[in-house]
Amino acid sequence: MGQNSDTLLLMKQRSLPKMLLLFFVTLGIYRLYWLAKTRGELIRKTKVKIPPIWLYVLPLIITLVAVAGYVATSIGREVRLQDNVDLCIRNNSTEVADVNRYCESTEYNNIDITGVEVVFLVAFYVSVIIIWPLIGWWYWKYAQGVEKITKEKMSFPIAMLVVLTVPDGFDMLVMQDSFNKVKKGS
Amino acid sequence: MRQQNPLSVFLLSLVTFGIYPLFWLARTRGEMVRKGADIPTTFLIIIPLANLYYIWKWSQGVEHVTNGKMQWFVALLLEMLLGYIGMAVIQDIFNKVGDSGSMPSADVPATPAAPAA
Repeated sequence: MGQNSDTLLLMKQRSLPKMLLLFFVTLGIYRLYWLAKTRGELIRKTKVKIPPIWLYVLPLIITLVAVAGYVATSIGREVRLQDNVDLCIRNNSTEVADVNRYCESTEYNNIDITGVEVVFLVAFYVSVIIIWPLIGWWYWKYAQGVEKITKEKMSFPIAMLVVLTVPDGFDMLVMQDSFNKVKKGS
Repeated sequence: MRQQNPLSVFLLSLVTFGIYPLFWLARTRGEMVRKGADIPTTFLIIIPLANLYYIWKWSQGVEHVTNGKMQWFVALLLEMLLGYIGMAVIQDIFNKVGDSGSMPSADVPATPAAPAA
């Protein structure tokens, strides 16, 4: 009976070199997959309520989209600005230095920030404000599951330190190593 | 040790722009000293370099009151690397140790509990 209940607590064994390889090959996406899979295993075996993985992923996606969108629209604005200045220079026949000064100080240089840029900017700040509480909460519950499955061999504080301070990709190796050791009984 | 929701420690630290952590450190220091820990005055926290000594002694106090459940270097890393989140984690450990009643006391020497028959 005791052996059966111990077996129920086992996590799936994974090869650490293979995980590292997959992490680099998939450009880090494997880490999200690994978090989702181990989250499911932890929930089944420890009954700790870990929030769904999309709560972890969504803020990341919103932040990335906001940054990419803002950079793209900003570059577009810069291009339009340069086009206007070039047009201004072509339409004037005075000295180049004077023209530059004139063109950069008049309505030719007056291209306001667009509504789309504002949306991306707001999305960025909102995601930054919600990203850490959500991810922190997700890690908090995950670390509780890790403590339980490893029978406190990896305690909750250590698990929090690992997921929040060890570089992504290597943190999952440390975690998986402790999962693998549970089976070995060491 | 006083029971407190770890989330409130984190949120209060945020909304007070870092003032609450000083209060929290001072309060927990007082509680740990009453439990027999040797931690200097919290005023050291505003003195460069001395604040590192304070945090080190404070971390040793955490190990003392948790009966080694949280080692001092773990508490130190949590404080220095995770900041407000680290404080919340430490508060969670205080709550758990308080729940289990395994804290040492300066007044009453801690003795191992007799095994149940």
